[in-house]
Amino acid sequence: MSWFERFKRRPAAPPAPLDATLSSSKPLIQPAATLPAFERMVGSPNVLYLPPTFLTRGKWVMTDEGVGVVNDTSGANTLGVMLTHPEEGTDHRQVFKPVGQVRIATLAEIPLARRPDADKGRALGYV
Amino acid sequence: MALNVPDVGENKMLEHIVNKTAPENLVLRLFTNNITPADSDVAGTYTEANTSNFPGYSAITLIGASWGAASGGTIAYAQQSFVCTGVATADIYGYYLTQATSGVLMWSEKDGAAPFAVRNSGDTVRVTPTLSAN
Repeated sequence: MSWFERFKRRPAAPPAPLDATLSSSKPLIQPAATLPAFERMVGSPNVLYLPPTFLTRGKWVMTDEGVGVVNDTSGANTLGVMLTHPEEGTDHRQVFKPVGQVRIATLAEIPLARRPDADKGRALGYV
Repeated sequence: MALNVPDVGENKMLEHIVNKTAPENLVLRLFTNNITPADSDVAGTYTEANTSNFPGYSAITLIGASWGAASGGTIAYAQQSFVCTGVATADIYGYYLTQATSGVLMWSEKDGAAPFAVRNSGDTVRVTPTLSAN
């Protein structure tokens, strides 16, 4: 063996055959290690999450007992609602309702004396 | 009962934060209609007490420089008193604050134990204006 031959590169090993079986532990296409934080938030709205965040204090809501204003959000799954006179908007009776039984009021359901105009109402979520 | 910042007040506060509009002194007022503050409220939503049903009543201007320094996310003003000076008929349900010049409603709060019946000279409503951000 000559001196030169001692440093001769060995031929590259043939590439390992691709494993495309379903039981492969190494997928052919690796998922990205991370996704941009903003992209993770893109998606369809979580309808189970939106109601409790949207029904904040001061919102006009409709319950099975009538229209009112949310005035207590301290409960885990209940909302305090001050039911109001349907036209004058004055306070009538305090009730506590499960979140699932309360929805945002429509513009037409807000008592006339306290109803915002259509543009402002729409901006506040009342349609 | 926690105070409520209506949409018009929120918008004003946002404009003040970014220096789009200049802030103003606030005027502290008492209201006599039985309502729970809502996000759609404006100053006209509230019926203010007056000297007919609350002798001696006068809205109180809160001077900007007289507010205490904000600390721990809260800023407060010294306790203010509305003292009745005669026979009265006012039922006080809460207070609200408007801007001194624009008249825009900034926030309001209903007294959790309302109404407070003001009937005699010496009857007094005391309010300590306080605003917290968290």
